[in-house]
Amino acid sequence: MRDATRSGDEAGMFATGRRLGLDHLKLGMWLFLASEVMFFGGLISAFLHFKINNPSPESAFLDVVLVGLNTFVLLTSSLTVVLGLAAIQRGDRRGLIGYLAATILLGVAFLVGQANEFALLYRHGITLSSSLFGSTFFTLTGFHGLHVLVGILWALSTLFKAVRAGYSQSSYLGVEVFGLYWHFVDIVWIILFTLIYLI
Amino acid sequence: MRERSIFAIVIISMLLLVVGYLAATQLNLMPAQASTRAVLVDQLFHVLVGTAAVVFVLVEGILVYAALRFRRRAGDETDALPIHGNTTLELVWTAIPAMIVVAIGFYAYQVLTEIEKPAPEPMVVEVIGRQFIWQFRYPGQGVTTQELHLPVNRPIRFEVTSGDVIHSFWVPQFRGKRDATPGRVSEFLVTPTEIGTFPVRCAELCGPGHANMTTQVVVESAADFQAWLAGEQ
Amino acid sequence: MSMSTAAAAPGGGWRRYFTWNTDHKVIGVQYLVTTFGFFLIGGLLAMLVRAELAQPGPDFLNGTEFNRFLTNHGSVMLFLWIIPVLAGFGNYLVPLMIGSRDMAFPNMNALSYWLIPPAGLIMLASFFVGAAEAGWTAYAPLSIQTPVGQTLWAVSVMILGTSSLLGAVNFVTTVFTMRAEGMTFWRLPLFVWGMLATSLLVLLATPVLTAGLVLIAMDRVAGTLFFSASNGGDPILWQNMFWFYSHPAVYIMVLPAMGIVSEVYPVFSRKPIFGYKAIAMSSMAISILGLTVWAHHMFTSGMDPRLRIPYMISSMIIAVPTGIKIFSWLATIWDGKIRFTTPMLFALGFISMFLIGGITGIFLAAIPIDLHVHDTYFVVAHLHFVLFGGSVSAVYAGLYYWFPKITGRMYDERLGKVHFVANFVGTNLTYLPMFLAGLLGMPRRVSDYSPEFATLNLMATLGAFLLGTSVLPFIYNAVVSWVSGPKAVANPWRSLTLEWQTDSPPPAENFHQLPVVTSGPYDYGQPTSVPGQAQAVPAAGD
Repeated sequence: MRDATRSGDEAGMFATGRRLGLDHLKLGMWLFLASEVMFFGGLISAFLHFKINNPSPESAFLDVVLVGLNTFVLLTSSLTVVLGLAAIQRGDRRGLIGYLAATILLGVAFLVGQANEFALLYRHGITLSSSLFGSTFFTLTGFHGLHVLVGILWALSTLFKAVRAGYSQSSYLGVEVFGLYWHFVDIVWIILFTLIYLI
Repeated sequence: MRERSIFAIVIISMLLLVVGYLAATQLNLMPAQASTRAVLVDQLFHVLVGTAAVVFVLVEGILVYAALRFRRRAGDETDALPIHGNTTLELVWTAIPAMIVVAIGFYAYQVLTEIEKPAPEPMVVEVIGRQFIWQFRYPGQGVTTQELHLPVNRPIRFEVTSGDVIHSFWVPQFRGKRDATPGRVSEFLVTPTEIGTFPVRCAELCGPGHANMTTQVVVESAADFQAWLAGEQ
Repeated sequence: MSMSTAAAAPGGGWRRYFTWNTDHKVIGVQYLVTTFGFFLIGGLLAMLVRAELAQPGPDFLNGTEFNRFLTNHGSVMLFLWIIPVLAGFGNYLVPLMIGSRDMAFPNMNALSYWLIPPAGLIMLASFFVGAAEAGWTAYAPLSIQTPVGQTLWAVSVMILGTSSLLGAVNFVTTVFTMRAEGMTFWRLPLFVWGMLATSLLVLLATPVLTAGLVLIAMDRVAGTLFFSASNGGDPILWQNMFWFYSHPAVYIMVLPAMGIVSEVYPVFSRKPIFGYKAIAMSSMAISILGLTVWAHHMFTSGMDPRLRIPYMISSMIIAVPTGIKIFSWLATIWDGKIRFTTPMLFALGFISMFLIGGITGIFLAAIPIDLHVHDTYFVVAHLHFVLFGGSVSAVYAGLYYWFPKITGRMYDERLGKVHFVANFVGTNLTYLPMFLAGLLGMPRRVSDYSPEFATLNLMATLGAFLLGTSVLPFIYNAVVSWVSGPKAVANPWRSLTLEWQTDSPPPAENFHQLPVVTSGPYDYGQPTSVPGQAQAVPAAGD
């Protein structure tokens, strides 16, 4: 039986990769994620540079409790991805669909929570252009939010494919690759939450 | 190694040393020296020129020699010898450049420390770059001018900043420049040693007038400088 | 370049080059031709700059126009020519050299190419709304204050960075997962090693530039304050983010080029490459070290003086792996049987001119000297010796060398030699005087200069016009030979690397039968290394 965690390779083009234990789709995603680490690293460096050299009293308006809760929501969404993957690995198609739906709902809830935080700060007069704090905060969390949005769209596409029986116990690579991206976005948020809200 | 190879190596080495020495001492590629840092920088520069000349002649020489000597003979379609490497040779040409680079690094570090050594009581001059003029302020004297005057042999601490975009304050004869950045004051230490007039040029693209953002620095005796300063107040 | 009468290549005529095609060989040609077009545009901009600088005093360009031309000259040459043309070579050659049928992600490969023409158009369209004019380095706050074209410039560069990044993901995945049986890492051609080392840098450094460009764009468009000094912003932050990418970028621009010449020397000396592993490891060393030197562009910025020292050290250390490569190449041709074909001439020219660039790099690394020559014509000379005398020479070497493989026809050797001589003389005539001008006091990016620099500038301008003219024999040669040159055999150079063990041009599937590799790529001088005898054993799934 074909290895379920490897992408289709009927032509043997990826034989060398298989021998090394590398699936080309997963490797490609890991490489892309490495570049994303550097992208967020650049934005985080800018944020930290100003947080250290230009600390701002406006950070007092950050709502640690609300966003802490939001963080928990996003963490839970990573859990649902893991559970969804485990489901399809057992051949439980409906389980996968359910967990993907949950992931999407939690992702949307996260974005709604973020929107709330943005609105809260806006009401205190903090915007992209009001201060350096506003500039760095909204840019950093804004780009993270955009990545979550992309993830939600990808999750929807994965969900639709699952509904159309596109995944099975012997073929679920697409779910894994999506999972890699989603977990990455989650991990970035944990770092952001720590640096922005906790330190 | 064969005797002839050793002989060739000795002769070539001696020739290279001559080339290096001549390049270091005869090639004067820098403008006039008008500060204490210029003397030290130029010494470092000349050592590098000599070293560079040796490396250049050696490598280009090998290249040209090999190109001429090892030309394919007409009609010879066969391959050359299957030589893949030579560990000793490779170690040598790794170690020697490494040592040269380390030596240069040390020397450069020494020069850097010397030229940026703070002086006990420097005269402070504020340099402010604006699109597209230079302003010089003498704090405590209430004087702001667009032509820089300095007393000779007096350590000067320039405090360089900008009123708008990034500029760069440069006097080639002093051998050194410092960027003028808005929101920051950058120090630059010079002790002028020659009486004369030298160009001040902007060395960071700052807009359409960048090329014309020039003025001059007049280095004069202490007495002349005081007289000028009094005249500006 | 007109392709209307291009020789019919397998799999379709010239029209497929204007479509979304996932064949890496088609994409490779699309890259090579498109980027060469941008090279000509960048060159034209250079001619205009040099024409203005032929004599002191304003001639036909005012300060704004001059700054726009020089900014776009640099930006076009770096982002639309030298970085993507080397990716084009990578695209064409890597699958063939490793014995695979295509890249790992053929559709993403096509996307990487098709991002380039629109990005180029955006950058050039900026001339209609006030082109970028802050240099290719776009230092803030100047780059925040310039007209709309600067934003277009930033968008264009972000698109090109994405193209480059996707390419890097493709190259690394392809090399790791698609090598033919028997193609171990230590049997990879050095060009492939060069692409690997380059891809590492593209993956890790490009995103930081993207982040920086995002900040610039937001300051310009959304009113953020990142680089607004009066609001606590920091222009130096841009310099750090910019150079964190742009220094590795110069290795992105040279490592594949070094890979190209590493392919050329053994073939035209009939001798194995000397120190194969050392060259491969030096490529990786240069790549990794290249991520640690960026602040040597900032020695005059007012950065913490003590922090400058580690950057001086790492910048000097990089000379060691570079030197290893140069000496290894010399040892390759030493005792060889050198054939002076056009590719070999350009490859030899590469060493001689890259050497000048590399040596002057040591001068720049030495902080006390850099404080004098930073942002002067000394730097302009240095960068053009490494990029033009170096990388572009290697690109020409590659274009001539693989011309028969790509087109199935042979170029005219005499015209090639004329091109080489004009290019070599022109390069030295243009850039050698610039070293002197910088040392004596001429800053860079100036539309005018003190009359004492007049002779040096006139020489540089004459050299530049010679360089501009020197492309003509190349273009004529390339077009006419492609259309009606003599048909080439599969392996006219009797090279041992895998791309030469298939037809010229290769069939759509690259190899009629996938090769099984049993030896290294440079085993000249051994009786068993007769080209054409990579064993034609049917590989799995074939």
